[in-house]
Amino acid sequence: MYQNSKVIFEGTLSEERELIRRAQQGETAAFETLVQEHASFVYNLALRTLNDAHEAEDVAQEAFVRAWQALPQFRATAQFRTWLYRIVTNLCYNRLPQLKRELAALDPAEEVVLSDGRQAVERALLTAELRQQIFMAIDNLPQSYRLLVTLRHLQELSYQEIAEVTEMPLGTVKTGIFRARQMLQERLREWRVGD
Amino acid sequence: MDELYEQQSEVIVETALNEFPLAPLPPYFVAQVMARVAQLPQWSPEPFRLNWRDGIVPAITTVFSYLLLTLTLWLLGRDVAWLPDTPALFSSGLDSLTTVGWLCIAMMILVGEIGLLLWVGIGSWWDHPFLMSNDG
Repeated sequence: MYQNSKVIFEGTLSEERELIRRAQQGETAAFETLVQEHASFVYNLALRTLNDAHEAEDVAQEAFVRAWQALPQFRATAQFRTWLYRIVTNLCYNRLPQLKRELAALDPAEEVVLSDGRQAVERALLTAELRQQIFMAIDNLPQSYRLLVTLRHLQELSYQEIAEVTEMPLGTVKTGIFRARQMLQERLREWRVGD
Repeated sequence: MDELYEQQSEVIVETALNEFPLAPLPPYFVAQVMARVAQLPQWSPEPFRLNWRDGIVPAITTVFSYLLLTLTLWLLGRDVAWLPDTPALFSSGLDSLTTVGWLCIAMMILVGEIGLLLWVGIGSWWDHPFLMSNDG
């Protein structure tokens, strides 16, 4: 049912720039290649945030249509995928007005130390049952946490990129991700106690 | 024991988050997007419009040429009547500076201008690549 590949763009960055340049000239075939490359991540970002497959499909399609319309204004110095995710996030904000309020309400004052490195982290061997339990817990996180966790772990953005996509301060982003992890650990503890 | 348990939980949650799978795309998703795109009016690349760069580039180029010409003539030791004696003007205002110091400042301005020109040029290319390419 699921695919595990997290390849962001199969071509190189220069190939993507070339596609963007051609699409900016009005070449729909080049834009179609960009859609194919990013569709899965755009759809999954909407799906994880909205938790509704039908709405997510609608938002993801709308995001690409808006991207096509705004493409002449896109500056190639920016990253195409973060620009695209920003469009998706804004569409999610429109659908869920409380989402932005929830994010803004996160108190960034508390000191949260999170590594932004891509270094190999210690990995656990999860049983299928445990994995399913945690995936269910992720699906049941508050929508603001789901958005942040998806951008961080599914889309593999840095904290700074997430702050740009969500238009939230860096401290708010770190606090949100930290609390989401804490909440998941709490659920895991409850599940183990009840087991 | 609790600490060990906490560490295990952290690793388990981190692993699960990194293994969180992608849901498959709905069928014909890309085709539907492209069908919607095809219905939109075809836009053409932005029409030419003057922007701040169109003003700053001639300004930088003018100052750059003026400084280069003045420096060259000065270094060659030639006096040209139609050109203001810039080194003398500078020297009168900045008596404490030596000739070498003045030269350093002029060279820094030139290097700065070259950097600015490159920055503006590269920026313009990224903004309007279609205006500068022949293959479209």
